[in-house]
Amino acid sequence: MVRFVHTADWQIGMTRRFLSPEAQARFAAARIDVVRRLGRLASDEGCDFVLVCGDVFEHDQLTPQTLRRTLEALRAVEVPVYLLPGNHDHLGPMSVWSTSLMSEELPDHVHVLDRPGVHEVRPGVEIVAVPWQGKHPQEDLVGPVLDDLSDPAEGTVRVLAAHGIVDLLDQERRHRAAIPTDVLRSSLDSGLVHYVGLGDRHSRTEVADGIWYSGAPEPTAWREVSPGDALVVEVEPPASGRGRGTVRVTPHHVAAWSFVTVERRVDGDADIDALDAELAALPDKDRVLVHLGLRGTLGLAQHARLEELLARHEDVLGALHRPPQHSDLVLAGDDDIAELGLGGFLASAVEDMRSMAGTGDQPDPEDEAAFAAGRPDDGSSARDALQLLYRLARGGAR
Amino acid sequence: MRLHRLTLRDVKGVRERTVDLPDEGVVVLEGPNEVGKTTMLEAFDALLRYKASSRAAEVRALQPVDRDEAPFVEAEFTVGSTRLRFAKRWLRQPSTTLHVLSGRPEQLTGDQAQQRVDALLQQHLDRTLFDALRYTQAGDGTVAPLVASTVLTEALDAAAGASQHADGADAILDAVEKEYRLYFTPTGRPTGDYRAAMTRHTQAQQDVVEAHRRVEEARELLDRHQAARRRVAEVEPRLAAAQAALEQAEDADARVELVVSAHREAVERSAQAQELHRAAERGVEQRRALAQEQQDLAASLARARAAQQQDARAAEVRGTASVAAEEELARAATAVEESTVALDEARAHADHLADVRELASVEELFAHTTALVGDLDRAREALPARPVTRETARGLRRLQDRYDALVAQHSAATPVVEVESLGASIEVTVGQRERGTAVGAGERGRVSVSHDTTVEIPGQARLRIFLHEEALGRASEIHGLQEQLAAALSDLGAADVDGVDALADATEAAESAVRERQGELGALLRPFGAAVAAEAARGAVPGAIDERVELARRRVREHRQGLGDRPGQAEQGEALPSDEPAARAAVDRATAALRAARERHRAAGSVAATTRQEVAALTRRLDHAQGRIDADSARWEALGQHLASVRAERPDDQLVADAQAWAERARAAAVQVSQAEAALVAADVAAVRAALSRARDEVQSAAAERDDARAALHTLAGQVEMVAGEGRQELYDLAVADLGDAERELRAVDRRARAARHLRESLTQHRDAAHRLYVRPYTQAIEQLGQRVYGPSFRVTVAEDLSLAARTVDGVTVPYAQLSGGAKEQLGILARLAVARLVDPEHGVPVVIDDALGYSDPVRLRQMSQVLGAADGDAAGVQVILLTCTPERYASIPHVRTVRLTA
Repeated sequence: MVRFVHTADWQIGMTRRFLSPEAQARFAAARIDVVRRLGRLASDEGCDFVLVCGDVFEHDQLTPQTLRRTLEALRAVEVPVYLLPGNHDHLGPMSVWSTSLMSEELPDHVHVLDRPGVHEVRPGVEIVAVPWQGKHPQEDLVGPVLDDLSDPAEGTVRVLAAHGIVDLLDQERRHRAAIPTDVLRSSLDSGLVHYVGLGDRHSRTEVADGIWYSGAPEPTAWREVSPGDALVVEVEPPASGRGRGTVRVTPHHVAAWSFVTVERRVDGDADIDALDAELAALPDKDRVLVHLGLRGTLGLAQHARLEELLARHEDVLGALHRPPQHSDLVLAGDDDIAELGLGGFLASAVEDMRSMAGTGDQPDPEDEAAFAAGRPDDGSSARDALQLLYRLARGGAR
Repeated sequence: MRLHRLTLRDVKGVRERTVDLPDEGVVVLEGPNEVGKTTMLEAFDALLRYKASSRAAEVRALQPVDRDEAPFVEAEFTVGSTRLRFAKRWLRQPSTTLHVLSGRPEQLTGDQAQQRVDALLQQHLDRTLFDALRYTQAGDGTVAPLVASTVLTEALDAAAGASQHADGADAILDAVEKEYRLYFTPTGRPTGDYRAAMTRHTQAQQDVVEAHRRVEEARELLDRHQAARRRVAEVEPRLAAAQAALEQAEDADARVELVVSAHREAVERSAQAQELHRAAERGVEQRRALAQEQQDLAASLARARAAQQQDARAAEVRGTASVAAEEELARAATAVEESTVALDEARAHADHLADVRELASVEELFAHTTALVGDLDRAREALPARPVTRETARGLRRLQDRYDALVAQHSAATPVVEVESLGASIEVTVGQRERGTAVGAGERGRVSVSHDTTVEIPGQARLRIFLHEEALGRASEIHGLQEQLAAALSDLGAADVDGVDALADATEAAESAVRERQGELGALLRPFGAAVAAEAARGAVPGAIDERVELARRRVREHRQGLGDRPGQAEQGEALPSDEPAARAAVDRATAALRAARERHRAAGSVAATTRQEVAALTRRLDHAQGRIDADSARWEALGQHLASVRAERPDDQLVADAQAWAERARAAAVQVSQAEAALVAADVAAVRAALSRARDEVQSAAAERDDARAALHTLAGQVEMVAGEGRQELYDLAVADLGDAERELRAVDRRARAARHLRESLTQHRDAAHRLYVRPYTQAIEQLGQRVYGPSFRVTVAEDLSLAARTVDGVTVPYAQLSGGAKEQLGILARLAVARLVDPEHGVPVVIDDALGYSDPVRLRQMSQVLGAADGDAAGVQVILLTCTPERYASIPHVRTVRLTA
């Protein structure tokens, strides 16, 4: 029997455009900190080793600072660590694994699975590694490795460590190197290997019995499902020496950060109150990245209130991402302006701006190559102008 | 607002005055200058504007100049629909009192009163209008831009049938402008945070571009690295093939090398044989030369010995001749000496004869001199003891002549007194004489009266005859001259004047003799110098002459003694000539003899020297010849020994036999060489070696290529490793993230900035449009009034801010600023009236015109008065207050009320 931690897709060195520099720095640090938590998990759970199934690093050109901090975190892990080169940190030219820094400073208990085939962890435990040799493999890497494999010695536990999408999840056949699930399944059935640990998919996924994606230990995007876990895997070789072994997989949440998507309709003060409450209820706000999409119709006053409360939450949250294409807030009728009692030419100016606010915007700058400041007046500037007038008039009204 | 009553107490020059004003229509407040018309308006202003506690300059200006009193102002007026009585005292015991008169009456004091009034004014008084409808003495009639007046714009809104006026628009516009200026400069350029965000965004973009360039650079480096690896893989097989080809070529070369070395050896052997053959030939030749040399040396030795004998004989002959020449030389030297002695003697004798002649001459001079000196002495002795000069003699003669002349003159002028004594003795005394001539009784005596004369008859009479003064002087002079003459003569020892002349003649003769003697001496002795001559002239024979005689004598004597020392000489030689010329001739002869002797001596010397040199040369040659003969003899012997020894070692015939044997061997070696050459040609060495060289070049080239490729790969590998260590991708990602953040920031600011810009532009645009709407009714109102004054052609141009821009009359348009003072005034008043009529009477304010229309001509004045006084239509309800010091100016205003102000 063997216990180990199955993890993958640390993606150390990742940056996110929607992060402020301050948040980016904490986000980057968190990807390294989680390594220490993984080490503690391994110790607490009595695991023999940690297996990282690819994409330890986001890419192959990292600063020495990032590399050294990662190695420092790995030093704190008390059990052996096995790192599999994936598509982001493959073994090709300029590989992060072939740098002198790596060869000189890699801790002794950390092993790079830079050779396809069997790596013995200790007598009776073997890892079959399928490392990526380049960024764009033209065919499945796992099959040939399995073909070359002979049956394990009796009582020896064998774990396959691979990286990449399985054909089951690649329904559109976009990946030439997709891993054929059937081959994996038959290898498990025949007892050639006893557990298949996969990396690449950031969402924790059980592909089939004994075939798992651990998911990323720190989330990286809003679309991910159940990220932020590591798997404690327990494998018992088959008693007969042939056929499937017994596998028990237990997910443990290790992530400090979370990605939260909030898509809401706001059509009045009640909706705004609800949104406010929902955002206020988020735990660990400075490590929560909120993707906000709002639709609805609001009056000027409500609009102003909404902006004010979002600004308040933005200060507290790790990030409040509001992509324009996910927002569609329409300015309601002229009750608010009428309330201000603006007469004369002010009223006619308001009317002008209101009609403009109803028109479309200038081409969305998000789609352009680069954002250009100071665009001509358009619907959105008219809406903002009306809000500004509302604010100024209310503030200055007698 | 409407003003009903105004009371001033202790305000400036006004002690106490209350003025009641009609609620509507025109009222003229008239009074002389300084009566305080303007003061009333200022006081009302201060009442509304300054608190009772204020000490503002305007308030202090209200205090009377000449009295220490607190100014007090009270006004009754209606604002909105509230009628008030409001009073204030400033500076001392300040107080504020308010009576609300309409509605529910109230009375308030202090701050409460002030606050109530402030609130009413704030709500109902249009300050812009209130100020604008005031025409002051100081201004030129220009109406302030009235667009800010709420009351007017409301009125104009109504008139235009629009609703453009907006309450509080100014505050909003100000706020919008303030917001706009957070993001834009006045000229619309981004500034502040907006600008900073733009700058940051641009910088972030550049950073991304740069980071991307570096990532691309790394990618390109990677490509090159892979290319270098391919190149290394390609070049290695080429090198292996080249090395195999080289091995084959080297084998072929080794085979060829054998043929080459065989040829080389044959050539070497041939050369060696030829060399030995030549050496043997040289040995034979050397032996023959040695024998020949010995023979030649023997012959040369024999010739040398014969020559030596010949030279020895010649040396003997030249030696004898040399001795003879030396003897001749000695003789010639003796002859020279003898001739020299003879010449000296002849010269000495000639000198002696000259000395003798000199002595005779000097002795004669001496004698002559001695004789002349004697003569001179005698002549000197002949000089008189007392010499008389000719001058002295002439002086005495002149004295004598004078005396004689005076005596004669005196005698002629002197009367003669004849005294005849008739009895008594009469004494006649002439002059001072002691004793006169006595003329005895009866006697007759004649006396020349040359002096004062006394004739005394003792006891009887004394006659005194006095001469004239002139005669008396003459007598005295005669007496003087007489005495002078006598003294001179006695002094010279002469009896008379003639004696003196004789003495002078004798003196002259003696002196002349002396001078002659002296002249002779001088002539004789001048050749011996002036000193000698002077000495002789003093009368002595000069010592110098004496010395010369002595010197000449000594020389003659000495010579004689010299001759006496060698008495034999004269007897042996020729007799000494006795005369001087002969002696000189003898000297010449001796000189010629000496010259001949010297010539002979020189010739003998030359001969002797020549002979000596010849002898020396012969001697040297003999010595040299002996040396050579000795050396050659030794060498000849040595040669003989050497020859004997080499012949003993190897006889001559054996040498010749050896040489022949070596010649044979050399021929055999040459044959072998030609055989080896044939083998060489057959092997084609050049082709084999060229193939080897090519193979080597190829290996070298391939190796260089491989080294090059490996070095390039190595370099690139290093670069790749370096670049891989820099983390360029991560830096790029960070730059992109930073750009995202910068863009987010810029978007946020941009959104706010654009909102502000949009709002500002929109509001400004609509406000300007509204202002344009106001222009029309305002223009119409002014033109309506103006046409009454200027006629139907009157037009005005009103700007958007409702200020007057131009006036047109009879088609002539004049900009407002260029109008005359009078026209400006008229237009200003018309505009104010127009405004007053436009606005709602409840919110209107009084039109106050302080001292105007002073520049208007009577016709215009009358027309203006008609306009002012018109109470029709809109004019009803307008309160117009005119202040003037010339009431007749407004006399033609209909329905006017006049309030006269007095001091």
